[in-house]
Amino acid sequence: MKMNGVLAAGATWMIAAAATAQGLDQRLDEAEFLRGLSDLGAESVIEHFGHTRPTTDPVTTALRTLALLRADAMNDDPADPARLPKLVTLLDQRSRLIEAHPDHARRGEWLLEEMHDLVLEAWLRGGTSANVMFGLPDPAFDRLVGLMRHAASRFGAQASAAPEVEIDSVRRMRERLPALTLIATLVATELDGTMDAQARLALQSQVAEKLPVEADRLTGALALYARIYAGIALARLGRFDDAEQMLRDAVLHPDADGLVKFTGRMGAVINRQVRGGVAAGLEAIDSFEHRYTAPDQLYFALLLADQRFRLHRDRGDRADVAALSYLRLLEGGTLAPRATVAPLVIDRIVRAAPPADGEAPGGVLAAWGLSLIRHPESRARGVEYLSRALEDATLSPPMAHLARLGAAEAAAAEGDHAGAARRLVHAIEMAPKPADRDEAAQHAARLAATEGIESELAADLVAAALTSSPSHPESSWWRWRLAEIHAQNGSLVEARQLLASMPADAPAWAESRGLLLDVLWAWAESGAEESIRRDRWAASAETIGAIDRHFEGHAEIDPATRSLIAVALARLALIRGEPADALRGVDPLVRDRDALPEAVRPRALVVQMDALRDLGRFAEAAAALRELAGLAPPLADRGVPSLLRAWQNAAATDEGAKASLAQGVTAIGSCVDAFEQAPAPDTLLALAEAELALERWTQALARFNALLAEQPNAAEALIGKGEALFGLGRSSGTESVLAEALTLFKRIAAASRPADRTYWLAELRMLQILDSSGRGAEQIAPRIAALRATHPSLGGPEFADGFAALDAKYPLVR
Amino acid sequence: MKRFAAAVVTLFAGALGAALAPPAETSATKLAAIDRLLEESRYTEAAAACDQIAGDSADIELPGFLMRYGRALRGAGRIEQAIETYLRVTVHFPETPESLPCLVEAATLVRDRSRRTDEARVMFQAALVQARARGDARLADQIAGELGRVPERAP
Repeated sequence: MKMNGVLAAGATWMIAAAATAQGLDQRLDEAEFLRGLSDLGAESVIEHFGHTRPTTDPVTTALRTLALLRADAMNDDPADPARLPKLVTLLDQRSRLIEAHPDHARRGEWLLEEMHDLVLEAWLRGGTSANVMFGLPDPAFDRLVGLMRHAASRFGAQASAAPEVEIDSVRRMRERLPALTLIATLVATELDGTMDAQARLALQSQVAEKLPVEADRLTGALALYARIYAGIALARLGRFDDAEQMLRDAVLHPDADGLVKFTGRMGAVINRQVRGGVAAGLEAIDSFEHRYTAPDQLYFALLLADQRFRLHRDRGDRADVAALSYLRLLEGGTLAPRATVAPLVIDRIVRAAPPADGEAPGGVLAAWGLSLIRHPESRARGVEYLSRALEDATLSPPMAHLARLGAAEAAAAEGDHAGAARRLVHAIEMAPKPADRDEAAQHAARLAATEGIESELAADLVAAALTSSPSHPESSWWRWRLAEIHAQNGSLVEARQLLASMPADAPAWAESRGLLLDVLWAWAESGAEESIRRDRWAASAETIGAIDRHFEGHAEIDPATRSLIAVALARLALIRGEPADALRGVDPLVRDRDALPEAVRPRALVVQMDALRDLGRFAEAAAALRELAGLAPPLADRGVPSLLRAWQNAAATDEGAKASLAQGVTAIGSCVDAFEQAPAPDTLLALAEAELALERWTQALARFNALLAEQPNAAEALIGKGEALFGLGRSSGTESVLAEALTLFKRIAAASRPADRTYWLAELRMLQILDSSGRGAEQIAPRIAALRATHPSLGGPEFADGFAALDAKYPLVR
Repeated sequence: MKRFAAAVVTLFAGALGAALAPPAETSATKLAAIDRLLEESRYTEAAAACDQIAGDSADIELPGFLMRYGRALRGAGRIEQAIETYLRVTVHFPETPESLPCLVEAATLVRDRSRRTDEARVMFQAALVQARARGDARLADQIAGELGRVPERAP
């Protein structure tokens, strides 16, 4: 029995232990945890919590959703405009929960949370209260204002009547409830225009009496706001000194942040206005406005301008006149940049004053104009407003400046680049301050970069920008742009000048070096003669060397610029007469087909081709030429004459060159024939002369004929054709061909003088044709005698052998 | 027979022992056992022991236990649960000494392991306010340093 009793006792304890087992979730209240998590913005923790504890209970589900919404809002910066809509959604959803569960045991907590989130989070924190009470009416706040107007009766009163709950966070909210309810009460008296005057007075008195007590009891920001709202209530009741003291206590409190101080000062404006009218309110603003001129105070400065506008309206001023209050923001020199302030000012004026009529002040017309030009359908009207504003002598200089810029912007948007440019140049000239001039210059440079703008106009605009604002931070980029335009227009000297004179520490220096190398190349290679080209390359040598030294070892240099430098250096080596060095520079580039930018490859091939030519490696040069012909026919066209002539010259003494010349000329000829554009006359001439040197008479004749088709009187072509006909006639024994050659040489001789080489060549060939044909041979000796009588040298050594042979064959019979 | 008798004695003694021993270990004993596991970096075992205690936590001193539970879970790689557990201390026991360190631990995990920067920022900011309110300048500086390592909010 004893044993059984002991066993029974143990079992009883085990059952009891199981029955009293308490997991963490039973000991720790979920609602409190969710509230705390949402305070900390811990969205993901709330999600994880819900995910690991599935529920079908609608209230639990709703509370978890509310916690998520709240955490999301808490994660936003209090000043972030995105925060308020999230809070309003939260308030609406919780409000629905409260209404759906009128008898729920924890409804009192929900009411407390609703008041807390509405008044403290949505209204006070982040400056919503300042926006609504001192700013322009904004529909974005309508829903919140609606909630605030009824908050005291709808949530505050019910929450205070709810039973107490022994949870720390609930206790803290309950401590704040009276202050929150009183603040909401005062807000209702301020914003509800339909409230009965007696009721308003009663509520203001209630707030004035009770809120100071709460302010003394509380700590933190809420205590300070309680003082401010108590101060406003006291002001409305005419207890001006008490109000002043209450507001001063809040503003001067060591814990007061910028928003609290501002709200307190604006409370003082209300106090002064109630006591002394609108003028006193405006004076109050004047007294502390200087505190809100720093760039980070723009938010407060805008609200001050709003309040000025509202006070002027209260005094009965016309809206468009009152709206001029906003123009003060453009006058200050220390506020945020004009580009930030101006759109806000324009937006405020447009919101504050109705569309301007004929009598509206220039500042308002300008603001409306600047607003209307943003949309294509209203742009014309906007431009009209702007021009009317600019005719108004009272228009302030900053606004006039903005109007000029706006008119230019509108013209540009309509595609009227010339009109836009004219207005911008005018804006530059009329700019009230150096900063405004810089701004207009920047607009001009931006317009110059517009796609489709005429290049001359673009150049004028950038030049105007550079002239007016030479020290602008972006001026080196403008200089680059202007150089680019010049380069595109073929004004290479100007482009070179702009780029080469750019200081090495300018922001655009490094990035513009590629363009400079391009320009230097184009400028040097555009020289009409080789000597000019050489001089230009020599003149560029120092600049290219400086660029090379700057980028040496810089990994971040872009491949195009790096290869441009290498090619330019190789070109300089060629100019110095060091083709082997040049070839060493470009060979690796040409071989690495993938690494070499497409745009640079033709230049590399040109240098490679010329280097190979100078090294006497003609067949390889011809291969480079063929590749070049596929990439850049004009460059290939330009390279043909020098290559063929060098090859021909070498062939006169070098058997190897002579052996390869025929094949080379054929290959180059095929390349040239494949050009889409007609080859240069010098190319055709070089090809024809090469064929002539190879004694390929038919091919030579065809080339000369092609050349003569383009240039019928080209002397070299006529002579060449004559030579080809002469060679062909003599080799084939065809008399008709010789006769044609004779006719041609007669024409040449007739057109030239004895001082010309061609004259003697023609004379010699005519006599040789007579000799070959056998007809008229009797004329040979007398003709030589006649020629010798007047010109004993017979054209000099070049023709001596030819005349001597004829002399010997046809001696003169005296 | 002897063997049967020994078995009966063992069973009896076990039952008697269970009946006469305290109904459970004291809170301090349990926490000390967890501490030993944590000191030896036996996080998975520590987390399992904590799981068991969490199932019946009626007699445990919660703030101290939850802080150890958070450490065990973090060591065992159960990060989300660790964050939740640390925040239990912060939310439910804000006046205890464990509250602020647990918040900092949770914020650090949210920043470094979960990479949720907005949440981490709010948590560190709350921790900073608490540290300053307690007048602990050194801790406030540390927390400010941690806050500075939270990536900036996207513009």
